[in-house]
Amino acid sequence: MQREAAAWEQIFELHYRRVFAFVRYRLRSAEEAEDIASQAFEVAYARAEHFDYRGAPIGAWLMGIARNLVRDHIKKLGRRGIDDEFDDSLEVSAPDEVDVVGLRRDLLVAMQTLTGDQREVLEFRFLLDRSVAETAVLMNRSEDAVKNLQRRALAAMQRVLAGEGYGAAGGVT
Amino acid sequence: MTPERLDSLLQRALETGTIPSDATPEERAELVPVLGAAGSLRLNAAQVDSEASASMPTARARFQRHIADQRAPAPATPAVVRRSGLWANVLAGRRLAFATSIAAIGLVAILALVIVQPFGTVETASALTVDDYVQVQGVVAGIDGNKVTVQSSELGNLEVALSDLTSVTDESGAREASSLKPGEPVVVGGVVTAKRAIAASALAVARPQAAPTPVANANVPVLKRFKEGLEGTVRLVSLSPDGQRARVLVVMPNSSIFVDVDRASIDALLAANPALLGARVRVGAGDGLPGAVFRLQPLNQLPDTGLSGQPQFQNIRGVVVERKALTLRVKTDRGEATVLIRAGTSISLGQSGLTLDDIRSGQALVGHEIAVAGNPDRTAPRGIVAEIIVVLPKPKGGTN
Repeated sequence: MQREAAAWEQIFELHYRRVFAFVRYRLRSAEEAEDIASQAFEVAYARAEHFDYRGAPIGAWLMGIARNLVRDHIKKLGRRGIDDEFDDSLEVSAPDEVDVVGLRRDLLVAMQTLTGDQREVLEFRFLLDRSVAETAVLMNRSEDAVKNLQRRALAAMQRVLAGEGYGAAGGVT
Repeated sequence: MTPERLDSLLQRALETGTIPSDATPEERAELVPVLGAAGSLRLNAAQVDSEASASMPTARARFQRHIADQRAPAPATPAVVRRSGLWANVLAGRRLAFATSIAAIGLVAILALVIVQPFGTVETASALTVDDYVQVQGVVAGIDGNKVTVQSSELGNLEVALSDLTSVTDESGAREASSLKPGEPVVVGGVVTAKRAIAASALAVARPQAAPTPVANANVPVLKRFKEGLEGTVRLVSLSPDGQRARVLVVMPNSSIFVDVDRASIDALLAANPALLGARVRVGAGDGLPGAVFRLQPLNQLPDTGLSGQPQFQNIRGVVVERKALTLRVKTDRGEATVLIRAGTSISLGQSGLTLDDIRSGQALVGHEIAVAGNPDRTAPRGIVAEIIVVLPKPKGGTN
């Protein structure tokens, strides 16, 4: 890929939000997420020659870079590993922050109870706003399989949220 | 009711926002809670998206600088920015990066100002990190009611909102905001609002000077590799909201550079100088710190404020002799001062040996030496509203 500034401007504008969101759900603060998301673009720019147009979409490529950066970041912080990254997020917010923070904590708790596939499908579909078709490509599954996985994941999540009393109280009780 | 049928109904409901009318009551009962979970996820996604929006200007500027750096021909050393005159040395800011762990009660960020140049444009704009506390130097360029445009030679024009809560002072004391005039050098402290303006809590005015020459496009580089001999004056200090990262702008005779530093460096800077801005420092290697994070060594020189006769925001150092709720009585070399802790005050416990629980217990601060950066408190003769407090160990044979 040519290192054309104009092309990278468009790549940044098109993909930054999703890369940020992808990272944000794994780290404790928006500032960390911004830093890692920014690094993802810097790394991608440095490795531009290695990107293969015929392979995965550039969005997936960026996500892969971001995932590795998050993993490295967590290792640097001496944390436990990528599988426990949501635990770290739980430490983020003070209890008196806005409601949505409580919601996020609940969701992250619920996310931990899901299987890897279930977590991934919910991330793609609802957190990164991917369509069923896009998710199918990204997960290397059929669209029907994605629909089925998404329903089972949402049902599992709802069971956990209900068990936490979320539905009644609007937050962890 | 088959799994495939439920999958299809769910997908249609997600796309339309309503459960399809052909769903049976049993199917509806299955779908309602599932859609509730989806709604929660979407609500949270909206919040994250707003965070992404807030961070995008900073990230865009950073990526743009990265591209520019990579395309520059073989920069063996940090790039040098040619500056034009006295005021070219005054200002610039950006978010920072700190690495050491500190215990903190309310978190503040001193300043997150970035030079942002939207792709494809030439003019410099400034992007501030919302909710950060910022201190920045500049010159009044215009006044429109309660809005003051402050011009920075490196950040461009900053919009500063004054209110009844803004403490406006000059060398002689309190001053009416309405008396501000274009060309007056100022130091502004306040919180960045959602509109990327600064809601000023304090504004200090110096003697009038000629307005600076605007700098349309100042690309200040970020230090990536340690370089011996970097010494200069701190013109901007910025702490991230969580207090974990910091960046300073170091201005040298013919160049300036942003340096990501560890939090301990900022604490040391505050402890060693009566002012953060204007302190003379040497950039040290970042051994043991994350990549591209360095240490600052305060130099024993009088602060160079860059503002003739400018009244820096109050910074004091002394021993806490009493604490009543959020008010500290501090014994300094020049008498007693009152320090007011506000909700956003950043308190770094550093090497004090104290913990958050100690602080919550009430009297733990008494006897400790503290260094305070903040704004004048109009309600007390020697009062200071603290923005940052660095708690130091108790002095030997201490006051208390």
